[in-house]
Amino acid sequence: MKTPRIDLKELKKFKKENFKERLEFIDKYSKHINSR
Amino acid sequence: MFGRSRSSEDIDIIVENMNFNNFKKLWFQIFRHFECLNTESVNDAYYEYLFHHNSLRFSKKGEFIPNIEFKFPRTELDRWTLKKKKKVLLNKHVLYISPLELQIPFKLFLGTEKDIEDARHLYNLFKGKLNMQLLSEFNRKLKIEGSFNKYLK
Repeated sequence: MKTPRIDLKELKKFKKENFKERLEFIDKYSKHINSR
Repeated sequence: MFGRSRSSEDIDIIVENMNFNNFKKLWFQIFRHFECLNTESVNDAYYEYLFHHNSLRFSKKGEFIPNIEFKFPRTELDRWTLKKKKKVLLNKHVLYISPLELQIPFKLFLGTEKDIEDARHLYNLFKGKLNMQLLSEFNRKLKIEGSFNKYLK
């Protein structure tokens, strides 16, 4: 099966952004829980 | 879906690109039971998030977890995933998932403890059925052969 071209630089950028977004989400979630 | 003892926190869904009008219809259907955790505006959801390749999170109303991470394809890898999706029947409902030969290496690429445990679980569950040539190709392209040998072999 032919696999796609993988731009590792782009994926690493995605990984970094995804990690940052997850942290922001966890922060938002913990504020939501604490406000209950 | 494949039985790790913890419950899922988020489910990533890649959705084929669609125009604003079609997205708007989908948005109001989703809103019958779910809410968007990023924004309440359908315009912002489309033009500020999806259009700029940022994902949206949807959850059941009043709940944060579990949630769906909804995005349009951004990379060639995303487009390949859509093209090569695998059909799964779950309680008579049809779902599509990305090929496991990509899921496993990609989780190793992400590299958090949770991702590595997920990769190990999937590999142990399906190792007799995987296309190992394809999996090795992704290991090579993602440069994670070392992690694969360390954590999964």
